[in-house]
Amino acid sequence: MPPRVGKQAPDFTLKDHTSKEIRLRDYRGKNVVLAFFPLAWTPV
Amino acid sequence: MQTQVLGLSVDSVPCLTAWAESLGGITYPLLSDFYPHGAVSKKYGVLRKDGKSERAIFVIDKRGIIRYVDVHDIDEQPSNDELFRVLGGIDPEAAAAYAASHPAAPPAPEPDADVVMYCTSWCPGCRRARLYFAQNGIEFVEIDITRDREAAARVRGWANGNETTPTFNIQGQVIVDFNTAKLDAALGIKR
Repeated sequence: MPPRVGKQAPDFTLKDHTSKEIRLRDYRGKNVVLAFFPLAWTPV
Repeated sequence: MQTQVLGLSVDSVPCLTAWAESLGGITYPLLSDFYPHGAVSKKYGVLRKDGKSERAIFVIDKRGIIRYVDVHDIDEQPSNDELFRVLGGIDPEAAAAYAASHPAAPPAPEPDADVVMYCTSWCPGCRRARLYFAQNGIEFVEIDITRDREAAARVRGWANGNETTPTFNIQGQVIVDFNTAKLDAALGIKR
């Protein structure tokens, strides 16, 4: 089940397409739109 | 800018790099949830049994609290309308920027054609319908509802709020979903 509205977003660290490490927590103070998509080469 | 967009998929970094290049310089990070496979997708409850993630959008506010969750079936393109509304509520500037980076095609009026099919590029029923029209020599016009938000709204109005594809308008008679018998009847095709 996805986490519910009003809950803390689970933190994570992942590499982006330029191999830079991105940590969700580092965006505290900004709003974040997290968009999951099935696989590359599909509509974003 | 008060809002950051992060794209996320279970692809490897090299694959995302190639994709980002093909999209012509993407303006936000595409994150690779590749190893351990789908770990973050799983944390967010959107990892499918086939190892891909669903199409899903989470809006997280400045304090790290989830403000909006939208999980879609993999074959369905999420409608951006609701996302704009939520984003507009917490950061109007970002909503405008996001809208600018995801331009919708200029809305086209309902075309002046006898047979109009509202479709998407990937829906299997739309593929069957194209074949059906070809086999029966029927001329038709198609509208991709992922690129025309007014057309998508028209379909929602006909299909109980769903963006069902294909949906047909045959001289004013609306048929929701691919159905040979209903299409035959509407087009006067005798078997």
